[in-house]
Amino acid sequence: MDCLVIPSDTFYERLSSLDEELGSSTADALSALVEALKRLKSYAWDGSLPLKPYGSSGSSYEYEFYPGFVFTFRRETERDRWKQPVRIKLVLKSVQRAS
Amino acid sequence: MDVSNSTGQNTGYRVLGSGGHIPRQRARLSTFGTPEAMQEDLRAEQDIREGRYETFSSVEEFARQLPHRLQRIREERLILAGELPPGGEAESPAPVSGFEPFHVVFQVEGREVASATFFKEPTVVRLVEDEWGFRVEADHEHGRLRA
Repeated sequence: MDCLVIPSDTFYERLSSLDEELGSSTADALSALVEALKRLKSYAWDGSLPLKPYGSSGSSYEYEFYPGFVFTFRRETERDRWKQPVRIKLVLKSVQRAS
Repeated sequence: MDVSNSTGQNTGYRVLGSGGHIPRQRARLSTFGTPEAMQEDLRAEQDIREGRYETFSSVEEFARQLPHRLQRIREERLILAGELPPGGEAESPAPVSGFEPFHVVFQVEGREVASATFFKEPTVVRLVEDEWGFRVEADHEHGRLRA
């Protein structure tokens, strides 16, 4: 299934903060971020990934992709006329410290 | 001093200070679940509603572009930090009563769209756009100023 990745400007700003904070470890964190997105793309929603829902909409999640850090995202599913999923969108909202 | 803009456009700017020194404020990550983080979440949703996002056709495409985006972020940050070279330009007016004036110029696509002079160093300056056009807003320790 196709998967669009949609980073917001706020996400990029926070990525910049993460970069400032981690310095030379940023590359490891970015690799972990990409790996997390790959896993999300094919995720069966069986609880096997370190993500938790938040907010009232039921479609936003935090995902601890690197020790001590989460990214937040919203997942949308586009469906065809038969209600079959055809594409997912991962809207990347922010990078934050894990609580 | 932090600098931000809410125009959603590419914004170049320079910060000129007569003192030749503008302290750099370290960017800070918020902690998930705090009011600051929730505010950030709302801001991200607003980004999406107002078209401030990019779309990548796949995770792999995002991964390929990420190093370039990070490089761009780093370059922008060097500007955003507002650091002046030693003996940098001093186009701002003469200091008043010992205060250091800070002259902030915002440019969009190389054209100056708004500027302002502050006699106390702002903690944050931002370019905002409303029905009257562009203007500069600055936060000081005692509140927000508009120019």
